Amino acid sequence: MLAFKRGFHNTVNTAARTRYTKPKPKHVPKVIAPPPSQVTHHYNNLKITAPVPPVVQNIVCPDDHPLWQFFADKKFMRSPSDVDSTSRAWSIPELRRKSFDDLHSLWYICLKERNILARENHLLRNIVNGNQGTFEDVSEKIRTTMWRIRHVLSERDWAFKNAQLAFENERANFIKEFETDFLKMTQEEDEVAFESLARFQKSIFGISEYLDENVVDRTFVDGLKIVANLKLQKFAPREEAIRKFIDALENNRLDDVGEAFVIFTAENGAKDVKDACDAVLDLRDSNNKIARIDEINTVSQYIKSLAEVQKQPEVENENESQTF
Amino acid sequence: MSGTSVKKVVGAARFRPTKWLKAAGYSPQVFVFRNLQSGQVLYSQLPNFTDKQIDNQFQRPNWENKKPSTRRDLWKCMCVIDMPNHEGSVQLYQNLVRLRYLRDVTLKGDAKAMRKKNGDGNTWFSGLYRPTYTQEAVADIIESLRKIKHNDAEQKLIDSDSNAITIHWEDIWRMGDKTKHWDPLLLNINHTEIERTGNTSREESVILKQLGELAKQATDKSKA
Repeated sequence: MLAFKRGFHNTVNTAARTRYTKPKPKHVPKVIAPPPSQVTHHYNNLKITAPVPPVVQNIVCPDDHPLWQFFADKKFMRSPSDVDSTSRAWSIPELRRKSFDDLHSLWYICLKERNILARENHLLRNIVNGNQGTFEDVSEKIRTTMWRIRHVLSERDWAFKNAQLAFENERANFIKEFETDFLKMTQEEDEVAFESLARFQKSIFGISEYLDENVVDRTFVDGLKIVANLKLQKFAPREEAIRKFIDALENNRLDDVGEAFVIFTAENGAKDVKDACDAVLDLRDSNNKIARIDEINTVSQYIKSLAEVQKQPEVENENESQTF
Repeated sequence: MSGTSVKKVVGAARFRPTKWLKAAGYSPQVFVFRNLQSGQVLYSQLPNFTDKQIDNQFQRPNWENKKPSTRRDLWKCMCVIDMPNHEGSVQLYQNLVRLRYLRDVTLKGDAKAMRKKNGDGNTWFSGLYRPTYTQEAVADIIESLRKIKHNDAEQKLIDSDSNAITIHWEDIWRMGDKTKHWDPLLLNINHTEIERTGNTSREESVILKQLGELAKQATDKSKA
């Protein structure tokens, strides 16, 4: 059987037998291989060596590490002679003479010392098996000081609460007394009078001169009205327009909080208050009386916008200074 | 071939020669990652790693040396080694991987003999953790760097006089006794500590990237 193979188009020519041709060299297939991407290799002289254990000497503890607060003088353990065993706890009368800030500092000093002692006690009890009597005694003394601090603070708190309760009954009388005293003062005493008014409004109604500090509540709003009325009455004898303004009011008292706010924010001078009264009369034409239920919200909005207005000039100034 | 799909290989999944690293803009660095759970160590040329590298570097898993998981939260960068050039960093990586192979396969018994044992004669462990793997990695880094410096005389891979090799440790505690293990064999190597603040698993990639940038700046400066 003859095997027929289909050849290429040049097969006939290449395979043609001629008498005098040389035999052709054998076909060598062309190798198409990309160059190796990895031309580097590991060394052959590598040796495995013993593991290298970590060492503590490499660790450097910073001096301001927070956990140092649990150590006295950066000592692992104090000897009983280092601990102040002859001291005593603070007595209540001594603590009563101290301010809140002093007591606050003392409390944290005690707390830190007790933490140190607790750590040392723990070690003595569980690891070192030493005598922890001295440490426990000192810790107990500090504990006594600490409950006494709390006791003194609670005394003060109760005193304050009782005083507030007692003052509730006296409040109306006190306000009346202040009003009469305030109005009695002459024009020459204006400076003193308005200083006392500032103190009065801060202590009784919590109205601060710094607007952002204020928390607007019912007391604040009532105080606002009282202070505005006081201002009007103070300047009424000096300015005819103000007297007429008061006479036109119902019961001779300003009751609308929006109007009271305008008077309240006016400067302490007869002319300024008169201008404020004129502004109030202008506003009254637009007839936007504030209902009692909306008073707190409205006043807090006023205060907010006023505080923003006061801040803006500062910001502008800063911008100017930056541009220069 | 019809049934199998060929996955495209990207990033750290395969060996990267010098040319590729230069073209891709990587600094001449080797990254060493440590498994927080088991203490095993993984070497990488790039600031990340893939499962391919885990397969490649843990070729004989057994009950003591299990093949670690690819969970990225369990791997923390133990140190970054800055080399003076890419040839050096590739050589270092190849040496480290080779030493791992020697420890796991060729010289298994010798490696085991050097490990600290527990009462049962097994490699000391606590739970899943075997500290010996990290310590062996430190020993291997020392050995590879030493051989690179030694062979440098013929190959001129790195300038052995300059102190251009820097190791940034996550915890300098792990490098071992400097006077005993490092100084006698390897002078002129800088050891620095990566700042601890903010070195969390979430921020680690950023820190590694910054280290890469710094290394690049340093090499540019030395070339100029």
